[in-house]
Amino acid sequence: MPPENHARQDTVRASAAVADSRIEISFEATNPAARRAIRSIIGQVEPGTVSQEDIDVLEIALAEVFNNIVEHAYQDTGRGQVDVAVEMRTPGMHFTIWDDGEPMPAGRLPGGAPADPSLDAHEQAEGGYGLFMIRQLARKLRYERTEGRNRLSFRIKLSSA
Amino acid sequence: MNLRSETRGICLVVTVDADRIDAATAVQFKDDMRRAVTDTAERVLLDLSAVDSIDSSGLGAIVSVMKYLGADRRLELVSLSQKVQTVFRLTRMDAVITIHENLERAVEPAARAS
Repeated sequence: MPPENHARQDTVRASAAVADSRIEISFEATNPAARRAIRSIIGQVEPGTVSQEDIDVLEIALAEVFNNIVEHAYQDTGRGQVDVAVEMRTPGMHFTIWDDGEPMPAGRLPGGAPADPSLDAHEQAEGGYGLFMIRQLARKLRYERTEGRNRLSFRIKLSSA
Repeated sequence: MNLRSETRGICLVVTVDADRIDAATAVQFKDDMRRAVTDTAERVLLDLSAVDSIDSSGLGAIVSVMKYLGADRRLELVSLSQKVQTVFRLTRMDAVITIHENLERAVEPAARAS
């Protein structure tokens, strides 16, 4: 957990511009701030227009992407900012996410891996599932390291309820 | 993390009293589970009916508990929310771990052979 003085209440600053379907959210790299950002983003979806399963998928994908930044790019220091731009374009949401943390290993987004059915439950890997889920849920996934920042962009498909 | 445990025959039922097992709580969950399963129960049934969501850190913590239990004791999951089921399906973890719809089904004798 980050020190108390970093757990500020209002780290999510949404400059909502729902009319032109683009919002920008910046938050401090902590787990609670990431959860609030996810709630803000899901709040942009008009209730009843998207299936619950797609909302779940959106939440799962964003949680993995943000956790990855908090835990790996910023190495759980709780210091640093995450900037998110969300564009609503039917049939989905387009995300661009920037951070100033450490680059991805070898400058590339790792692949991750699912459970291996040839092994017993107690022989499974303890990690790699987050990136595997991101790769399954996000389309047009692209990672770039530019000007000392990490930039991740992807699209999440949202189908009608 | 709040865990309650109760012995039912050869089963130890551990109920998670939290709405999420995620990056913020995974380490605590792992530590508390290790303390909860010091019993000699052959089957550990993890009741997740109160858990709304889980992420890859929570999944890693569950795998870590399975490693701790080793080959002789099994960890099985009970009462998964839709969102938790989605995570198990996406990671194909549903193919390697036994998942029960509810506790009654999990403890009935036929389930032992599965």
